[in-house]
Amino acid sequence: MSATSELYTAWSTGTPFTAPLPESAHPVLAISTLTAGLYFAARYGISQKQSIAFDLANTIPSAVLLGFGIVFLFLSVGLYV
Amino acid sequence: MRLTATSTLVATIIAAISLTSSAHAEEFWSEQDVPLVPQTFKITNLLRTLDLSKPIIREITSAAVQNTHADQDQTDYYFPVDQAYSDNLAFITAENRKTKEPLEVTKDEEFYDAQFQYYKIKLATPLPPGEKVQITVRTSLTNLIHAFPTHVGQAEKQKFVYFGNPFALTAYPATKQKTTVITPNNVLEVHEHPEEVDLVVKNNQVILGPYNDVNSLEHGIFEVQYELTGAVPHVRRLRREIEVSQWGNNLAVEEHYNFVNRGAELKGQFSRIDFQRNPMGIRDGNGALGFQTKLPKLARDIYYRDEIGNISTSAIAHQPDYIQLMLKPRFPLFGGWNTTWYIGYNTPLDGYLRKIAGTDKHILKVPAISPMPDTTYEDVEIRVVLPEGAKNVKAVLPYEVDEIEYSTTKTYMDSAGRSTVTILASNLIEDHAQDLLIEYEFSQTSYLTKPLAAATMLMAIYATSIVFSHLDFKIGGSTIKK
Repeated sequence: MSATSELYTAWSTGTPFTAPLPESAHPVLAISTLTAGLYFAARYGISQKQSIAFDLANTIPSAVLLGFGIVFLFLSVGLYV
Repeated sequence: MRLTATSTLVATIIAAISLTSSAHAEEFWSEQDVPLVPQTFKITNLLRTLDLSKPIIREITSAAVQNTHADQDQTDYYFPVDQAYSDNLAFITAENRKTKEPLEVTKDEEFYDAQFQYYKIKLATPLPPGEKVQITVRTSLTNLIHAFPTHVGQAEKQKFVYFGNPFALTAYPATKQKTTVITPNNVLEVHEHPEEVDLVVKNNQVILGPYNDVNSLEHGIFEVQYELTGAVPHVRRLRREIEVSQWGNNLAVEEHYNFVNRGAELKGQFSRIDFQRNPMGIRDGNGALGFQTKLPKLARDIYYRDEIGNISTSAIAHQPDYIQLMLKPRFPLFGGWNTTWYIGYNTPLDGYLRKIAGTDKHILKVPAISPMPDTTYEDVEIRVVLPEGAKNVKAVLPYEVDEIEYSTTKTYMDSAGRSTVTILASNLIEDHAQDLLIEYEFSQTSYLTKPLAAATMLMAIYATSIVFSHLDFKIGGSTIKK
């Protein structure tokens, strides 16, 4: 019982949770990051045998942006991951 | 000196004789149950109310107890419950009758008795010798009433029978005690077995007592038959899944119910014509027509489905503090009929999750179950899925449950899996809808796990593509000249 009450007082004195991003930003961010990610992916995709440096300079930003884009896409359609 | 010694000796002998003669109230001495707890109290007056107006029986025992110990302050008052009722006892609370402050009740492990389970009630302040205090104990007992007759017609009122103890079970002797049994309508029949106990029937009350000089752990049986309309709602299995998403600031709740109506069974076939044509029959019968439950005020995306699909007979009413959800199953549930369904909704997380400033500790507070009125829950499984990256998880509940397990679940976009708390409980009632508290540690960098996991997968594909695009698979060379 005391474990409950001390956890309860800790809860009452805690600060309410704030999301890392406001929910209204989810659709906007989803579309923008997905677009940017796909731009880089396309840039890599249509390139003809450029140097590895060029390839990596396009795939790494593309992967990161698309990764974030997928998370925001899931959140904006209601699949709260 | 001698005179005083002799007179004290004589006084002791007289006291001994009077004590044994006052034990005459129990004719069969060998059958007297001797309580194992220290006999440091005496009950001067006890009033017990047995409320039978709902399927869950509520027993309220108010006792004025006096410390009979010669010189020691007492803090522990023991309340016995028959071991036969250990599966039926759903909830027990105690409070000081005058000040209304709640007292701590714990199940006693020290005094084991094959017949009685003792509950230790701790008094707020130690009671000096000779002083009195008034304690009220409230217990809720489930599954103790039986439909009698067991089968009734569709529009007939159902009747129940309850067998009980005419004496309040006490660990200490009581100078005076009285029990009042309250039924919803006029009492139909009362019987006493086999001892003759004084009882008076007044409309919807049976008054047993007042009895004087009742020994501790006194037993008897009395039977009361009464009418109670309406279903006896019983959830055989409830699985409540709560999913916490910190990325999306969302708490998703999904509850799966397996429900049965434990009222009197239907005699003959169900007649839809009679059911729809006779509104009085619907009121007097024991069909469960709908359920009500309360959802949080900001719940959204509420769904009510079963194996077939969506059930459209549901309605929502917005109240100031909560949302009233009214569900109507696909068919009315008469005695013995059962159905299954599941409901779910999303709510914003900031009402439930709090962070302790300066640390990574988060505390989640959710109601353990969402209560349905007068419902007993047989088997309850509460699963809370925490966000990925939650560590050092600890869950506490204000009452005892069967088991608390910690495991990992893998679901959408998970790489390491999400910490899960599974709580198994049985025999819960509405009163158990109290707060479940879960504490865990979640660092801010754990937010990046999901996007980077997705990015890593994509990068693996890109890397393969880069490697293959820089390798030369041309067959033949330009060296062969013809």
